[in-house]
Amino acid sequence: MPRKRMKKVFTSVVSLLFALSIGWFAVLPPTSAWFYQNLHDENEQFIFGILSLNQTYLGDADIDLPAAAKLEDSGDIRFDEALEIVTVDAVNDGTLPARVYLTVTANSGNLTGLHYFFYFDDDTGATVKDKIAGKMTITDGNAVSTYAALDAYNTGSGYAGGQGRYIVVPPSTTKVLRIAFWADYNTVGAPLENTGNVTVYNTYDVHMVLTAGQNTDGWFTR
Amino acid sequence: MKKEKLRKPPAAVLVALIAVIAAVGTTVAWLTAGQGLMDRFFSLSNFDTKANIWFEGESPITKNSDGTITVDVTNPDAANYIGKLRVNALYTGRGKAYLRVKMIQQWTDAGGTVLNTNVLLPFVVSSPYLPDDTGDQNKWFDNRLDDYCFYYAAKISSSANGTYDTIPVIVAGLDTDRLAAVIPGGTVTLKIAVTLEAVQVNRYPQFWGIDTLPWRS
Repeated sequence: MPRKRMKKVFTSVVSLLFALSIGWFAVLPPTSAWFYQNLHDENEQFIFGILSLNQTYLGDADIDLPAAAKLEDSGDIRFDEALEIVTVDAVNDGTLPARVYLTVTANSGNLTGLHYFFYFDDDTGATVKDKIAGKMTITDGNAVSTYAALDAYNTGSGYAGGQGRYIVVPPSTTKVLRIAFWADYNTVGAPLENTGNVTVYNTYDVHMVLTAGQNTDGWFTR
Repeated sequence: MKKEKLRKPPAAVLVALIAVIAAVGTTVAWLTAGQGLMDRFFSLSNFDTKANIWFEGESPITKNSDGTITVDVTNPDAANYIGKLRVNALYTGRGKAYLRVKMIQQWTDAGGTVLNTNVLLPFVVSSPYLPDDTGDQNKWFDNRLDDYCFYYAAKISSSANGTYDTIPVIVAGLDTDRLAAVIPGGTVTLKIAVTLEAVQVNRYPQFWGIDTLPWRS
């Protein structure tokens, strides 16, 4: 009967579809995002597919910024000495490249006077200041213009794709991602000069999010 | 009476449903990103430093009106004998700095004439930076030949604001045999001035006029 035949055909097609579906799962490469885990534990690690990002510094602590600095001052040739650098090891054991974005916000209070630069060692330049200069325009003596360019680089149109700096971790590769923080002397410097009162003049409660995904534009928005 | 029969959905429909859910799940998950979270609490402090200078076993030091200290270089029993000179650096602040101790000498003869000499007094320095040391060390680098300074060869900070940490500089006098060899002849008088300088770690080129710290060059 036609109805029985149709039922048989339908069952066969659906069974084939089911088998293909299971097969699709089986042959997917291990870095496929459906397999990701999102883990936030005391070791501060997270795994994306089998792309893992591990910090070299673990646990919570007060970290003292060494000093305040002036990015826009060409005379601040030892700018790097004032940096606090957060380091993250990104290991991609998979077969697909992964793109990592950084978002920095305040857990509490505000981040006025605190700046950062997201980079990795292969960026051109011997020092961090050189690497910054290689990515954006540092306008000598002009802090407003310089930090506007830095903000665009970190979070906006100053980097390809329009969502700020990202770093691509190729498959079967380990990259050391770094986030350099510093305090802007223009904003915080004056009270520091009062050596008659040695105290903490500024605190920054910083929350960082590293977001990993496929190496294409469009999926990440701030 | 007609009994209503409850019909089970065909197995094929259930299988199709699972297949569709699996396919959709796969597609959606591709667009999902993983996240890693990190928190840091940064603090920014300043610092202060001062030197503690005294003659071992003697009453508080007396300075000349110009800030110098007159030292006796020949009589070990004198209250101001140079072998009794002691210097400590004191530092407070969680901000980081580089330190140097500048020691300036002025030799005069019996007639009060300033001698054109600047011999290196053989002080016994606490934790000296040795010739085979490399890189930053918690030691004093003797750079007096160039600029009359001892440099503390590492960034320094104290664990707490307001509490001064002590970093010994000269705590055991000096090598008397070598002293005898370097003292200018005749009756001479020596005045010294000791200053301790701290500068934030990224600004020593501006304050000290050097591009590279001496133990790194």
